[in-house]
Amino acid sequence: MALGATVLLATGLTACVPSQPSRADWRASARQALDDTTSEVESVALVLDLESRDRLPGRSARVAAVESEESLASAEQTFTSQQPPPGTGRQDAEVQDVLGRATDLLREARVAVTAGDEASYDALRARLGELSDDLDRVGEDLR
Amino acid sequence: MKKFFAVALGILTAIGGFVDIGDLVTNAQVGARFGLSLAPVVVVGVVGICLFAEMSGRVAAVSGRATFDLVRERLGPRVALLNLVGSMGVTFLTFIAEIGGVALSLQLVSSVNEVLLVPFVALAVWLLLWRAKFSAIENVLGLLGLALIVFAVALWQLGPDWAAMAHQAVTVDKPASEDWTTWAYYAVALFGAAMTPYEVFFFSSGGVEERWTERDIGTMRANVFIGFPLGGLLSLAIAGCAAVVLQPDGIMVDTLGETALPVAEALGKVGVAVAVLGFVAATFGAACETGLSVGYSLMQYVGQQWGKYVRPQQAVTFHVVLVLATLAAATVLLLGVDPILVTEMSVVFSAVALPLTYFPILVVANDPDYLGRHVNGRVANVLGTVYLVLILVAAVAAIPLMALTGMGA
Repeated sequence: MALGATVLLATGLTACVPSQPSRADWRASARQALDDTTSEVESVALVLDLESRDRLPGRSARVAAVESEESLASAEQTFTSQQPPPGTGRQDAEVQDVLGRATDLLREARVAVTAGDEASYDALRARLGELSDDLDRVGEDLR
Repeated sequence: MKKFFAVALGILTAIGGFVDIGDLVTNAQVGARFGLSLAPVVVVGVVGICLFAEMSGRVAAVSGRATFDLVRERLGPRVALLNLVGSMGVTFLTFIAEIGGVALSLQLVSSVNEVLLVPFVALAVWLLLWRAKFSAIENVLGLLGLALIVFAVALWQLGPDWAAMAHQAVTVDKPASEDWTTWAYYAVALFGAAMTPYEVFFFSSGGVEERWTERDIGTMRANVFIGFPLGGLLSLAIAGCAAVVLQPDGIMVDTLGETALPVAEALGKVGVAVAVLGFVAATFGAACETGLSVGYSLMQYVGQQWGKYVRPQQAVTFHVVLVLATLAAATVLLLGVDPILVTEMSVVFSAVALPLTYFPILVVANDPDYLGRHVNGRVANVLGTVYLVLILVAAVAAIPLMALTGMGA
C-alpha cells in the first residue's frame, strides 16, 4: 500500500517536471527537431509547387498541408517541453525562434491551400525556401 | 488454356497482393533517407519470403492442412503456443496498421480525418470477411493492387540516372548525414516488412481454403517465384521514386500522402488517383489477409473449425474471433493511435517474431510423415538454414536498434 502510494506520488511529481537532458542529449534533440521541421517545410513547399502546376487531385494538397502542420506541432512540442541545460540560452532561443517561424509559415500555407489562394503560392514557396536555409544554418551551429 | 489463366491470375494477384502498408511506408521512408542503398535488403527479404512461402504452400498442398495446424501437432502445444503468441501478436499489430492504412488512403481523397473513417473501414473489412468468397477477396483486391505499378511508371517517367541508381543499389554505403545504426535499423525494418509472418500463415491457410492438392504445386510455385519477386520490384520502385523526388529536398516520409508526392511530380493527378486506388486495394487486401490470419492461427492452435470454405454456422468461433479482432483493431485506432507509428512498430516486431514463424515451417517441411516425397531438398534446406541465421540476427538486433535510434529518428 505504502509502496503503491510512493510510486503514485513519485509519478505525479515527475509528471509536473520537464525532462532535463544532458547538454549532448539536448543538442541531439534540437537537431532532430530542426531536421523534422526542415522535412515538413520542404514537403509543404513541394505540395505548393505541385498544386500550382495542377498536379494534385481533389483535396490532397489540403490533407498534406494539414498533416505537415500537425507533424511540425508534434516535433516542436517534443523539443520545447525539455528544460534547456545551463549555457544553452542563445542556441535555445535561436532554435525556438526558427521553429516558431516554421509553425507560423506552415499555418499560412495551410490557410492559403485551403482557401485555394493560388496567387500567394509563389511567395510562400520563396519564404519556405528561405526558412529552410535558416533551419540548415541553425542546425549547422549545433553540430 | 484454363490452366494458363489460373496461373496468370495467381501471379497477378501475388504481385498486387505483395505490397502492404508496411512495404508502402518503410520503402518510401528508406528511399527518402537512404536512396537505394538498402535495395539488397529488399532482395534478400523477397528471396526469403519466396523460400518459406513455397515450403508452407507445399505443406498445405500435400498434407491438406495449414502450417500452424501441423506446427502444434509436430512440435507440441507449448512451442506452438509461443509461436501463436509471437506471430499472432505481430499479425494483429499489422491488422491494426492495415485498417489504419485504408483510412489514411481514403483520407487523401476525402480530406475527412482518418479517425472518423476507421469505423466504416472496420465495418467494410468485417463484412468482406464474413460475406465475400475467399477467391473474390484474393483476386479482386489483388488485381486492384496492381494499380501500384504506377510507381514503376512514375520512376521511369522521372528519368533518374539509372547507372547511379544501380551503383547505389549494389554498394554498401549510406548518405553522409545518416549513421550506420540508423541504416541497420531500417535494414531490419525492411527485412521484417518483406518477411511479415502473416504472409506465410495466410498463404498456407489459403491453400487449404482453395483445396490445393499435389497437382497445384506447380501453379503455387509460379505464383511464389514469379509473383512475389515482381511484387518486390514494386517495393523498389516506391523507394526509387522517393529517392529521386524527396531525398534531394531532405523530405522524410511520415505520412502516406508523402509517399504519393513523387507520383504527382511524374504523372500528375491521374497518377496520384491510380496510386491512391493502389493504396486502398493493397491495404484493404492486407487488412482482410491479416484479419483472416488472426482467426486462422488461433483456430488452428485450438483445433476448431476455421476458414471461409465452410459456412459461417460451421465455424462460429472463427467468425467471432474475426469480429472481436476487428473491433479491437478499430478501438485502438479510435483512441487516436497513429497508424504510421503502428506500421513502423509492426515491421520491427515482425522481425522479432520471425524465428518463431519460420523455424517450425522448416521443421514441418522436412517431415516425411506429412510431405512424403515432397520434403525439402538440399537446396531448400541449405537456404532455409542460412535464412534462419539471418532471421535470428534480425530478431536479436531489432529491439536494441529500435531503442538506440529512437525508432529510426
